[in-house]
Amino acid sequence: MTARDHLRGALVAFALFFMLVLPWGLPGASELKSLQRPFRIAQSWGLYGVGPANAWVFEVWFEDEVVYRAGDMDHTWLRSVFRYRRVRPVVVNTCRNKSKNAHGLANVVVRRALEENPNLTEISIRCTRSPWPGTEPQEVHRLTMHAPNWYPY
Amino acid sequence: MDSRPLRLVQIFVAMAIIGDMVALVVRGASDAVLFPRSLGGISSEPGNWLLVEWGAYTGPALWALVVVSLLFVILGVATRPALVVALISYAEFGHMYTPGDRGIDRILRTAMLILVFSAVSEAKWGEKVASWPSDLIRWLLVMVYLDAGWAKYKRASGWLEMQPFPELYEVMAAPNIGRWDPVMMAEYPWIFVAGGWYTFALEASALLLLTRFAPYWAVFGVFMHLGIAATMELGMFPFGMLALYPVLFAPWIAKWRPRSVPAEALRTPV
Repeated sequence: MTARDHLRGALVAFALFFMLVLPWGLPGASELKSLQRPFRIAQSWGLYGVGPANAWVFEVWFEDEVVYRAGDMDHTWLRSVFRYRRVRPVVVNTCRNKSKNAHGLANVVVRRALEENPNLTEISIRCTRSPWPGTEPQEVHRLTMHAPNWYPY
Repeated sequence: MDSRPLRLVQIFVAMAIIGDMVALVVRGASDAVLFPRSLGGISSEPGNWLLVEWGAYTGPALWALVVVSLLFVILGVATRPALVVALISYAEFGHMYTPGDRGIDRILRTAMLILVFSAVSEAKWGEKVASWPSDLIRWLLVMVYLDAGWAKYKRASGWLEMQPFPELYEVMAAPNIGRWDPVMMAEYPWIFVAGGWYTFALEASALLLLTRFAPYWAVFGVFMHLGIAATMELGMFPFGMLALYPVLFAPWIAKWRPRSVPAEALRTPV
């Protein structure tokens, strides 16, 4: 074996330890985690282990009219934004009242709504929850914004 | 090993991320993602490691840095420095907009970090390079799939047993993600139980990625990720994962050469 092979083996062994330690809480994990933060490579692992126990539906209403409803092709206002993978986590967590960015999402909704409909007086974000297959929705959360200050509450 | 699989991983990872960045603009989400809440965006709290402060230009500048540097990676121009710039700017992008920095972003940054130290950036197409980056990326994939399989094993009855609403149905039918009608899908629970078995078997057998059976496993993995792309609107996730697959197909790629290229050209030592 050449020196390069030894170096390769050492690098692989170190990297294996690095990767083994981190997800399973073995010694050194907390110290090595600090190295992960600058590059944002820390993982929570366990992709898609559990599906949502209920059907959560995010809706946007302009006064008394629904303009967007998740999964409803008849109400698709800003659908491409709400379903974009970087925005959807905020949408989902807003529905579960767990998002610290819910007001930011509401402000985006208000701004885009007023660009198209400057005479609106009320805009609301509503979330419903239903047992599967989603035919019994019950409203569980609402953010309402009124003119003129449009602050979400 | 032949440099082609690693070079393909570089190219495909770059394409996946650029595709996601373009989608951000095409889908009309740039004002929501690229600017902080004080300027009309969504996110109010950047990550602690956001080191750049360019005011209103932070988001757009990071977006441009990621896209341009990855274009250099695809074109093979100053590949290693471009990869370093891409990795750092992509991480900063994640620090800037933390709610949208998902697991796939972290997986791809881990792969980029590995590739930064690989000789593939300077190697000619088909030239021999050290294989440890490929070994590490394979190990990364083993970790990802084994952990996903373990997460499913903990809810095994939901994934593997016939019931009205299997776990796979609940994942795929979520209104904010799924492409199909949940009411229609509920009439065929057996499809989702079969899919649950397929997925669980694939993930539980991920150690095969460290053996000569890796290419055959990867064929099934390709079908799984294409199925994910067809049934759920997850954006970059399935394509980002598939971007790492060339290292799994390395034995098959190594055997392939265009008719115009003599076999000796692909065996030139470093």
